[in-house]
Amino acid sequence: MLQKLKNFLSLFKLSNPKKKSSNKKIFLPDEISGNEKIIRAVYSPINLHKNGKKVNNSFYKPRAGEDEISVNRLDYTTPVFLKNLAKYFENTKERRSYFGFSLLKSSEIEDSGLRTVYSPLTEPIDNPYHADIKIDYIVEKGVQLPSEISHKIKNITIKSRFYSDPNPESEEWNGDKLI
Amino acid sequence: MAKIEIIDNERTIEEVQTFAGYAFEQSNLNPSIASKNNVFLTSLLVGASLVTTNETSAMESFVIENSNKNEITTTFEYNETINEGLVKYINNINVISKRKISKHSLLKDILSFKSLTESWDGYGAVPLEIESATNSIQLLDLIGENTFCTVSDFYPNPNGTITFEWDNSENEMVSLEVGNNSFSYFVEMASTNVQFFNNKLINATEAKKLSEFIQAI
Repeated sequence: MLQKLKNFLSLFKLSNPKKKSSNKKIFLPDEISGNEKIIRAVYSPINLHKNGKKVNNSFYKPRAGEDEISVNRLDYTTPVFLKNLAKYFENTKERRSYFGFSLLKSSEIEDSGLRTVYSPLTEPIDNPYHADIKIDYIVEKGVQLPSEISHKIKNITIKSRFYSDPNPESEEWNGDKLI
Repeated sequence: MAKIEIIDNERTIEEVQTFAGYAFEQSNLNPSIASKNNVFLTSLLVGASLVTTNETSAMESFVIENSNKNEITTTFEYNETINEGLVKYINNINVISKRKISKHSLLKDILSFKSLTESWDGYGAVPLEIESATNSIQLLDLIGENTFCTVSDFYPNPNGTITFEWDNSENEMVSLEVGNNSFSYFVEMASTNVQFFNNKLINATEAKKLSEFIQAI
């Protein structure tokens, strides 16, 4: 509980990680450039390929009722902020533990026939770095995706880089440089 | 024989043809005798020489002496008779050797996906739907254990369906997603454009088509 509170408070501290004053409203360009790094936290080992070195295709599939998956714009924030954000949403009692990130360039998503849109959040916490990868198809529970969309998702998955966090409990990012 | 040696039999037909061609060049046979029809027999002959001679100098020592056209014609007929059975046998061996998981383990893993907690991926995923799980098992039975269990990877999806993937070293892939009422898949082969198949019902006819693609991987 204490750790959870700590993570939550650290988000306020880090919500403006690249500026000294945290009172100013953060503005990011609406347009996401091709070179921008698009990052997503990994929680479940089931999301990893059996070789443990890359995520599998389910990682970039939306949940039922949605046509998008949540990501963040790394270029405007820091791995430390994103790690704290990820840990805020983890639930170790249900074996949902943060253990790394998967990274793509925006152009790699576009080249695969999908798109990334900027979508800052104010709830449940303020996250001005939030974006979504759109698949333009609302996923239904128990219904498989059209194979054309599965193929596009497979293509971005292949291009993604998985970064395992060597020390998930730490408040710092000690993993490889996110490139 | 002093030892048993297992020889990797994963060779493309082009490699076998090249090898067979070389063997004929090194022999005293008339080159015009060599054709695609006797590639397999030639390989067997060369293979036999590899086993029965010093393996390091087998290629150099491979010579078919005192052969004439009549003898080769005879062996062609023999080859045609045994070829079909041998190819079938080798295909069966290859399928079994490609199997990556037992049916028991596969079923166990599929059922374990049903026991996942809500939001198991941290983003609101639901556990595997029971209908998707049973459909997968039905498809497994229709396709056959030997083929299905060559699966490279399989995992639950956030919306309660399940995906199975078969791939090879040439990045060719069959990716199958099974849902509560039907299944969809795509086939990515080096020689053709990606093929997409959607909302296929689970029956023997559709399973057979899918099976043929899996076996081609």
